[in-house]
Amino acid sequence: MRFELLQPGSLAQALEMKKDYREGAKILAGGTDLLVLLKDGKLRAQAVMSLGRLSELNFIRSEGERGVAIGALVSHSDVAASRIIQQRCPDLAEACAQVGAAQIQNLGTLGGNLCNASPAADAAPPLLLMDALLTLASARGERRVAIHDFFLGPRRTVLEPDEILKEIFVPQPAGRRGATYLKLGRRKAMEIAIVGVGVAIHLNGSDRIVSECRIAMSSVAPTPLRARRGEAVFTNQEIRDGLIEEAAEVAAEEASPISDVRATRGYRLDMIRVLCRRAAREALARARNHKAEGWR
Amino acid sequence: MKIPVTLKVNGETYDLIIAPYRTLLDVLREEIHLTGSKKGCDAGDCGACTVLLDGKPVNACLVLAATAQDREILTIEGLARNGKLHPLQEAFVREGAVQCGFCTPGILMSLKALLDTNPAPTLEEIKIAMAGNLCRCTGYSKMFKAVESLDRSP
Amino acid sequence: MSDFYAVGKSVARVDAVTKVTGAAGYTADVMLPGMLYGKAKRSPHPHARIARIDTSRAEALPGVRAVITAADVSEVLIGLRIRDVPLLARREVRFAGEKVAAVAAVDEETALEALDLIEVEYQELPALIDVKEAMKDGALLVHENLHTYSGLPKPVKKTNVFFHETFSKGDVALGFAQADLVLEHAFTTQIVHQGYLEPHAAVVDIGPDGSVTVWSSDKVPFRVRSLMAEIIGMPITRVRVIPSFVGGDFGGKGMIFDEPLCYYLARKAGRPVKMVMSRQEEFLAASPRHPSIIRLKAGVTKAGAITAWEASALFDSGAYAAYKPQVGLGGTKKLAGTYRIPHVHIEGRYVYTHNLPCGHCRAPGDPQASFAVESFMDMIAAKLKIDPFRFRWMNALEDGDLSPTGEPWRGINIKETMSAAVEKSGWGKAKPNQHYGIGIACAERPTGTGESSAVVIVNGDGSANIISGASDPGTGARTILCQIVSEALKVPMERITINLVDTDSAPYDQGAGGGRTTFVAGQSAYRAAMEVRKELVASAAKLLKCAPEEAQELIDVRDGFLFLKSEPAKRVSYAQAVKGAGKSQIMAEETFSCNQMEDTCFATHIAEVEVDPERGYVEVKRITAAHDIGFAINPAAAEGQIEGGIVQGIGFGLLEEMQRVDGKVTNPTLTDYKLCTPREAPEIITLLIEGAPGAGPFQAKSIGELPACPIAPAVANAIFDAVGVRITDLPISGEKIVNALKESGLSGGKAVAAGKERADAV
Repeated sequence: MRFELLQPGSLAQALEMKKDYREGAKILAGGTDLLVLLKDGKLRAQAVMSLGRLSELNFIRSEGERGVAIGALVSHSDVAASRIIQQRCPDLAEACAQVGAAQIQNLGTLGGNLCNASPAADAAPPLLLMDALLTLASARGERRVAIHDFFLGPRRTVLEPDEILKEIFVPQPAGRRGATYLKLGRRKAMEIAIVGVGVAIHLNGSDRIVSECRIAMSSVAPTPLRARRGEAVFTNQEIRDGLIEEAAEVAAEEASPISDVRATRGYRLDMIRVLCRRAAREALARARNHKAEGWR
Repeated sequence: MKIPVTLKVNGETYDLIIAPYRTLLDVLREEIHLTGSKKGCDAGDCGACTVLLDGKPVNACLVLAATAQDREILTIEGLARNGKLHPLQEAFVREGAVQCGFCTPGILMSLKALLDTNPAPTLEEIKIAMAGNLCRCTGYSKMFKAVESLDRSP
Repeated sequence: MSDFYAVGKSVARVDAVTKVTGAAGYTADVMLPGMLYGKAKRSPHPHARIARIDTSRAEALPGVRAVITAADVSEVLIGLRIRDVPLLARREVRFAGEKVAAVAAVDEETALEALDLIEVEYQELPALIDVKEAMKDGALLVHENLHTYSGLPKPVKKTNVFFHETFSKGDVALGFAQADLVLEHAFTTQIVHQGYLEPHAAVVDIGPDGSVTVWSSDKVPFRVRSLMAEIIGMPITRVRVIPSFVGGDFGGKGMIFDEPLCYYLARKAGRPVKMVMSRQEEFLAASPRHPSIIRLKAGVTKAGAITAWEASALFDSGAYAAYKPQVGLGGTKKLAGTYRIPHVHIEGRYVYTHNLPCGHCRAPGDPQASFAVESFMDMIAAKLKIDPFRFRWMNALEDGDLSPTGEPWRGINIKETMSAAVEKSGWGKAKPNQHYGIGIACAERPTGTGESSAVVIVNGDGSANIISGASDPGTGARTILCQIVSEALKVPMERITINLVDTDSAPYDQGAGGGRTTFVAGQSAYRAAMEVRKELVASAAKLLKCAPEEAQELIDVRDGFLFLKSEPAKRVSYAQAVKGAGKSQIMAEETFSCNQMEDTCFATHIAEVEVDPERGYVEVKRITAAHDIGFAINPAAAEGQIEGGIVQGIGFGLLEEMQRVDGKVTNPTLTDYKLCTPREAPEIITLLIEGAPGAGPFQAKSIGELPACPIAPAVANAIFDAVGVRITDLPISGEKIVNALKESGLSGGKAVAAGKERADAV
């Protein structure tokens, strides 16, 4: 592992550098993935650009009824500990608290987790559930991309060679909503998800009518993804016996997991169903508990 | 090309000229000769290299030394003050929580960070704080006991 | 018991402060002026002919100081017993990960870059990666010249089965004829790494006179010395091994790895060289636990007596057998458990393949055997509809019985460990919830034997030193030696020093391993201390005006003073006694050697688990472990061994596996090779059962290895109790449980019902 180290002091400076170096400079946010890849020789870089000095990207900001903006460099532990996040997107806080363990959560960043584009990214399912918007910046300007369009494949995103992820915006969902993220690993910590499933349930008025359901999954396909057909099973449905099971069954059909050192495809499919059922039950319970309209 | 880096470790300032790709762990061990932080995996999986960066535990093997400039770095060598062991160190000695000792420095740093923010942790909180640190010798039991043996009065 | 002075107490370890402050020096911490960093180039293929190696581009890289291949090193084959491994692969590689070349450079980055510049042209050859294929007649031979190797118990030719051992008692055919029921089952265990946190490390410095200094993470410095001297072709006096603290062992730190390469690189470069294995190299090419295929067959009567027992084990040794200090694994002999069986026949076969070589891992062979035997005991009990505890109790050995293989054992107290564990655990109590299960397993393992020497000195100021070559890879052995000497001399612990000393300064010690240190090194230290005490008493006799022939009887010692038992107030200090003897110090050396004995140890573990049948997730809630320890010299240290063994055993049972595809390890990281984290650690109740006569000082027995043995089957039996499926292939992953539940038609809630049914039946 040998490279030139770039340490821009501001986002503007970073974008100028990225314009010059393009793919030649790999972005270092937390380092928990990048440095491991570089040490293993799985990735080579002429230059590494550390964003550590860009304190301007380290923020969690409530934008009132619109939603929450999170700087790309906020660490997992800061996301997990944030009162704003805990109140408004508890499932995201839960997901970040399940990344590795304390040391990794202190180093790793929300932006890094997304840009690394691992199919197993823990932060992806909760953000997919909330239709998060990502601000990608370059010296040419900024653009906003929906998280659904961000991932292209394992370790591949829509980021152009001169772009840097600047901010993650989480729009505020309307109504009574409950969401959760469940991660399956062999151990209780230091795990890369065998399967991760997030479910969000929206209720309108009645505790028994689901106005909307969202299901997001990780480690089950080349990218984290939404299970749209599984979601449709719930939409505008009254809760009845077998509904959750049916949705889980359909969601599993939307996955295309592989067999690898962590688990076989068959077990992953089984576990999507299990986690989906459990997450749906928990999300439903949370939604029913959510009496207030909107976020406080 | 090597670059100048100033590191603040255990309250002392070190002016160094290092390769930009060197990790904090390698620089602590080989340039500053603070070898208490251990290299067990060099990939963030074992926690033996845990140091506190601005008070928070991190894997020193996953930090480039140059990016730690101007930050407060605390290593195991800085845990005892003026020749007096930290209560955690005393508890580890007293309770028989140390066996081969290779994981011990990293675990003590993780626990120090825990106690700094939570002086009376539950067993579950202790386990969560230590979850990024592997130990093969002790089965962790005596480590839990050592933390639980500390004075928990606020 | 309570009148002991220093033993029987959980005193703080002598090296604990050094370790909690980060001051303890391990081999990788050694930094020498001008030192170079070495790295090894390894084969990506499990079996290939080396057609050509070109090192010229690596040599030309700035910063590279030396490159070596097989042509640069001795042709000697090395090994702990069977000598079959070359220092660098010569003409042929036999496993993926075998070293073919090495470089030394000014820093690690340069060394790694140089590795990429070494061009090795391989002609890939078919690889034998299946142990059963390797056993077939006419199979490709992993070692063509096997018959020329030294260390084999008897020469064998044209086979991959380099060792076949049998143990027999009685007549199994007769025994099976007497049975009402004959059961048979196969069990498989996986390849696991010892998991020590400190990777192997070595530093070699060559003096101007050619003498060699070695720092090594090896736990047996004297063996490093003899192997290095033999490789280099020097008398052992020209090799000095300086021990460092050893960061965990569990059997994996007994063989030299990069030490010889450091030597050749240092010789070529004219500078000291350090090599530290990466975690990945640890997984590709260290010396993990042998995977096994074990077949058991038992004949039983309806009433529950075992009439006959047949066992066979296949151990995949991988490409080399060099990493085992004995030819076979002690566990083979344990394949009939701790039970009274009149007719027994056991076979063990050790087979070469093109997999990575295996070695010794905490109780070599025993965890494999224990998993098979103790799972099988539960399966038989279930078939007979007898409670698993009662079935074991009915058949358990008692004092005076011969071992299952017909050997005399002293002080059998397996039943005491069983009743203690049952009493303190949830056995026989109501299940707290429907996913709960409880399982029991028993095991036995002898106290280790060997040779140790110790020097004990009482100095002119009354303080004491122990000079010992015994190693302490984290076990607490050096603390135990101090406690033993403190007890013998009645000198307070803080007045006793034991330092790490090199092979020039310490008398020979066979090193840690096999659970021998407390017994063998302990006896040598105890005896040396008692000799010193005799001389102190003799000197004090003059000062206390006691007749010399009565002195040993009439004079006692306490807190570093000597006095007449009849007149305790009148004391002579050790300092005065040393001076009175006309000496500056009083010193004694004792060698203790023992190669055979009847001393063994027993244990019973009870595991309580909760199983999530939907995910197959197993949470071990509590382990109750009763260990026959004779006498616990340091109870906290003994508990620490048990607790560590249990958590390691849970990893073996549930999590750990070096997965391989086509002979290559596919999960060589601690991300995907899963040791238990603190969050997997269960509540552990350790019960030290004292009183049985041990061979060690103060009747201590051994404790290092046995805790790792009965845990996996106890957990497996608890899983069966919880969900009604029996997994006989380790590790018991969630996936295996889920699949087994599906196959048995017991998925989800139904499985729980079946488990209950079974529990009600017993």
